[in-house]
Amino acid sequence: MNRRTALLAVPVLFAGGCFAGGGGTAESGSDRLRVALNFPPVAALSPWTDDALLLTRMGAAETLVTFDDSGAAEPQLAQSWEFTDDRTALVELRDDVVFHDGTPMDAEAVAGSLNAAAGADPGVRVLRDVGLVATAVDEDTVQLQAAQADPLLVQRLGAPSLVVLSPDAYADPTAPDPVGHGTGPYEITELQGAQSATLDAAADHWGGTPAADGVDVRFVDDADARTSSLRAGEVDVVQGVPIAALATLGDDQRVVTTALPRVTALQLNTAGGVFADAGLRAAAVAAVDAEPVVDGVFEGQADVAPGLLTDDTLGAAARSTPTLPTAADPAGASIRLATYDDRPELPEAAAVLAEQLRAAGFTVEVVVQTYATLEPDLLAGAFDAVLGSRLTLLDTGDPVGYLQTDYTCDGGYNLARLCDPDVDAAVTAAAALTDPRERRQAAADIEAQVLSTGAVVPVLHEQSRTGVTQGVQGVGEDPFERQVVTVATTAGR
Amino acid sequence: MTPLLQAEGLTRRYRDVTALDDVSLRLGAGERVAVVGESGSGKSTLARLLLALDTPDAGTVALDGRPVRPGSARSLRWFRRRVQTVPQDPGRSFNPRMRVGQAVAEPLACLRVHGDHTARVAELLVAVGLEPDAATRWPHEFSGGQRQRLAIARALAPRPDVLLADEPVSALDVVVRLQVVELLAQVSAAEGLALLVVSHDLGVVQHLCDRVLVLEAGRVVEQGPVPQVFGAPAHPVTAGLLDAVPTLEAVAP
Amino acid sequence: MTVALGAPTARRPAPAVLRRLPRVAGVLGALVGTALLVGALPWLSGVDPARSVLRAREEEGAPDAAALDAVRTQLDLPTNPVAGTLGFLGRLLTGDLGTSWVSRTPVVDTVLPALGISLTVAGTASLVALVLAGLLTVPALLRAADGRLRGGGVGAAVGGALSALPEFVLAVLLVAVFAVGWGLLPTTGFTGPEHLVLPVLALGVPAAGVLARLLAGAVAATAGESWVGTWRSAGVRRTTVAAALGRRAVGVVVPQVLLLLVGTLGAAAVVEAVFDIPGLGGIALGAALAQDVPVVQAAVVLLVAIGLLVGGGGVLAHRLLLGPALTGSGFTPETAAAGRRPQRAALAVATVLVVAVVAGLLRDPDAQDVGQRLAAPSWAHPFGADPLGRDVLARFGHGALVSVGLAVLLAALALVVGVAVGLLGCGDRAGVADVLNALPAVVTGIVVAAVAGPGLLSACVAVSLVAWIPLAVHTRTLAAEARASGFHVAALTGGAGRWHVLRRHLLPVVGPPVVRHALVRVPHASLALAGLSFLGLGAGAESPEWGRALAETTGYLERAPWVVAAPALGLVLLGVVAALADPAPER
Repeated sequence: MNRRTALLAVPVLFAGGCFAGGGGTAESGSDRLRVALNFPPVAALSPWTDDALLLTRMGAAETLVTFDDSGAAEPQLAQSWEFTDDRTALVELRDDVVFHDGTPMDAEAVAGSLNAAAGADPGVRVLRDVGLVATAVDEDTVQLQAAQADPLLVQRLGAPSLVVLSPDAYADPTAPDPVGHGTGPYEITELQGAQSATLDAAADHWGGTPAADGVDVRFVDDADARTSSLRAGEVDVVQGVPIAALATLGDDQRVVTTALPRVTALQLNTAGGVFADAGLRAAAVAAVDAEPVVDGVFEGQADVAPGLLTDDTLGAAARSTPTLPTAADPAGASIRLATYDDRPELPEAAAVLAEQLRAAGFTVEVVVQTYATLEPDLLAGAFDAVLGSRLTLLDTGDPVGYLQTDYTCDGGYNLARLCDPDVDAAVTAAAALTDPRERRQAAADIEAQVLSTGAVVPVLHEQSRTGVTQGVQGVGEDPFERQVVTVATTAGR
Repeated sequence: MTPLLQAEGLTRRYRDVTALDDVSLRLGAGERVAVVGESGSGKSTLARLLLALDTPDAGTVALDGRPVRPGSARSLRWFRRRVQTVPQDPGRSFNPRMRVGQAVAEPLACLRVHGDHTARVAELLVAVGLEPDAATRWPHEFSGGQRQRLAIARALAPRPDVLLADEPVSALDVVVRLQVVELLAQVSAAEGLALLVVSHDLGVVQHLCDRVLVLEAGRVVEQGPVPQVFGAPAHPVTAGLLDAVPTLEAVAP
Repeated sequence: MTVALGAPTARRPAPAVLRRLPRVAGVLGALVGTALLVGALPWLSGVDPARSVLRAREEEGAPDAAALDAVRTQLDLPTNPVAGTLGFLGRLLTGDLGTSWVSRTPVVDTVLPALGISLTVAGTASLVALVLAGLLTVPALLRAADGRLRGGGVGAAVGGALSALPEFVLAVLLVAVFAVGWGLLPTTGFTGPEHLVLPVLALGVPAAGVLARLLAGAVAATAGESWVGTWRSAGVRRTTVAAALGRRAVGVVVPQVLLLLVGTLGAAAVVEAVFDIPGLGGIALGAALAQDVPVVQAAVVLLVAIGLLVGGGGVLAHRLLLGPALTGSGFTPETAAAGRRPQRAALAVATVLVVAVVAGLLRDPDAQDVGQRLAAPSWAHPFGADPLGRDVLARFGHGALVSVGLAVLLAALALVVGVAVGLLGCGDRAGVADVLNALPAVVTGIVVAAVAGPGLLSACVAVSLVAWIPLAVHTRTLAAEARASGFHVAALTGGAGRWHVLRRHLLPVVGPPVVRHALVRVPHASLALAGLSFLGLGAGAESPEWGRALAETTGYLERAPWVVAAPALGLVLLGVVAALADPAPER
């Protein structure tokens, strides 16, 4: 008898219960925002990783500048700036900013933040090869100096990795701790592993009193799980609602959409295989029709791409029409088209494009894998075509960087394996321009050049979808997806 | 008389229990020896050791002077040809998926006995008092007593020299018991077999055997010729066993 | 006083310490081996770990050589897998599990809480599965106690149907109905007992199906034993007989439950993702993809250690449950007489399936029509249309060939390997089976993909590496019982050698139940393939294979249930047919 009861007790012991530490539940009557963000912190919210995006989205930390729709810099923690020479800039700071731990934000603190980021190992992406040195000139002025001429010097300050934290955050120089050290409308009081975070309103915020008492953030990786919690009324704001789930939202929810500078494009391998032939590339370009992808797979929640860069990005700059060579006859040429499933719509889009290419005469094999297992083959040029999604305005809000990375001979992400000396020269020239309008025009011209080679077929430009319950106001509509919770966001309960 | 089957100083322990403690036994050709004792006295353990189904912690078992140790079927073939067993529970010792004839013939195949197996099986079935066409039937079609006869037939198949009967009739009802005991006596006499009977039933022992060993708590407490030991038991255990016997004479056919 | 009466020992028993030495060496070897294999992952896959770690920290952007070098020096990457593993094991001995390459925080802080959570979920799910399976078996138990049991009963069919339910589909369905629809339970998170209900149901119900099928078989086998009739004619109460039957039958199932427990620990990544549970499966998967070797090594070593512990416990549990009966000539596994009715039911269901498949085969599975995206069933599309406007019925039919064919093939392979290992392997030790079972399937998949490259063959290899385990454990359990039977001893004393015993006595006893078990697991092979498809293992991206179709379209469950229902129903019906089909019909 003893043996048997002992046996039965064993599984019950397991069921006894280990649960994840819980975030505090909002008491009724308090006006707290419940937010679900779309990826968990990988490094305890260190700003020198993608976690920086979480910091800015939560409203916990801020950068010196932000970007408008076209990617031009706008004041945030910095009030104004001017270039004294081609590699130095003087930045005037706001004088009414206080860190969450009570210390005032002055030039010393800002310089400290920037220098710490510059000295991070491995380097922060936006400061790579810049050699930034920041010095406090007086109490509200910081001098930034790069190692060589850098027109984007101030633009870089908009990158999330350059959030300004109080000096106490850098106690451990290798891992800054943003908890309680930011400047945003909400102060992080607790971080529960990679599950959730609790923030309280920072009453002294320079932008005014935050509209909510606090924010309870949950990091939910799975898009459908996030949407379910929105529909069940467990959260007020959900980032990244998948297109497939839009139709399931009820009357209590709505979606805030924002056009993104993110292009979904088909890269054709120009260095080898079937698409080394420019005529066949032209055939592929002619075969691709973005409308069914946008209307069908994306259900209208995207825009047909006029080119690689969005109209918002180019602003007043004029696009020129690319001229492609005559399309050759594929005659059953066999190609392998790869894409990754990390972004849910890509596999379906690839299937549609594959059918279009087949209709044009190609034989297509579609390969879908998770990005991590696909990347080595992608970079090695193992596929004839790759359908991928790329941000065209990255850290600096400037498109030339994207063109440099993706379409020049030495570019680190040149999936099309394009190596055209004209394109390279144009990119180098564009990178040296200081006038933003000139840069935009130069980018438009380079885009036309690249498209004329047939190395890439732009398909569509994506949108961000933030799901909110009815009554939520003031959610960030940032095309750079850096702002979700702002000082004006309220749950409207 | 040189002993045919000889066990010297057998000891077997299981964790903290001593099942057998320095037990020695000699069985000569044609002899009939019984090992008696209560449940838990070590009889079954002794049987297993004598059949080379288990390794003793100390002591040896030898057949015709040749030592026997558990091992592969091949290494024990010589032993198994000469020593066979009639197991205790007739209900369980036959594979329900095998026809009776196949089961009886199994030792012939495994021990590589030459000759016509089918004829031998028929011969054995008749010898134990069953019809030869019983070979095509399934075990569940036979009664307990009949299955024990089949077990005896199987044991006799390779023409062994020693037959070890482990509680051969305990699972049978009283009427059938006598028939099976008679059968055992008859075949062992006819084939000149040495018989080793392990039992707690003294009536059976009295009927079948010439010599007896009494086991208690793993030790031999008394041994000798049956009339002597049963007529004048020297040890209280033996006396206790004798007191417990219902006399068979009352049920003689 | 219990005596194991298996194969006779062939040498003098060595002192206790020396006897344990091979076993301890085996355990240590398993742990070291898995740590080494995981540590060698970057070398096997050819992916630079510095690159994958950097990408885990910063998704966009293209790292240049300087950044990669900086990461390499910072991570102090080992120069070869052996050095790395030795370092890891050395640190392990001092209780230091290392530092994660991605997060730069101690591995202990992420892995141990996740392990605790996974233990809670897996333990509760296993318990629920066992209880549910027991409930499904109660009608059969009562009928057996009355002596009226024929075949596996309704429990077998229901079990077969439940076992084929894909866990991730069930999870999404449960969330849609209970959490969002009726608001009874939370959708995500894991902060209290109310969060345990839905995940446990999603994991436990399909497992209950498999266990119910096994229990039904065990009950049917036990019902034929002689003591049942004796008890009945002696007037013992029906419930007492049923309880005794149940206790006897449950012994076969307990090792399977423990296998399930360990297997779920590391393999529930998909269900964990749906419910946002920070369990070990998700962590191991994320770390494996990012090639964060310290985390994967720690997770895998912990899982394997638990697997060995629990596996040994399973054998022990079986022995404890059956007690002395396992040692004496306690058993005579009888044959179970199958009924005619289950056979006819199986035939009926199979016919329905075949008709649907043939109807689908006559149509075009690849014709896209984006305007018909997710169209409801109509005359033009009897089963509706999928997200690309393709005909679901056509894809159902064309997918059937691949799915069923592959699944049957893999199940057959698993059966052969499982029976061989179960019969020939060392009976009462936890061994390779427990190690492989504890390894998360995705880690195994990643290793196989790294070594053999993507594709269908690699997928079959990866699935085959683990599919045989439950069958081997089942065989081991039944063989232990068979070896304790009277006729086994009789065969031994009759001079039967090992092979003869295997062929004539063990295999006929062990065979039919294990074949039935293998049949129940046929749909699982298809689902296992689907579970590995994101790694590039499996049928091609546009293949209509059922498991793949399910994995790709589960997100549309609420909008267009027919898209998910068709392949899911196909698998369920396949499971029912497999469960009802009996390899040893009534004589």
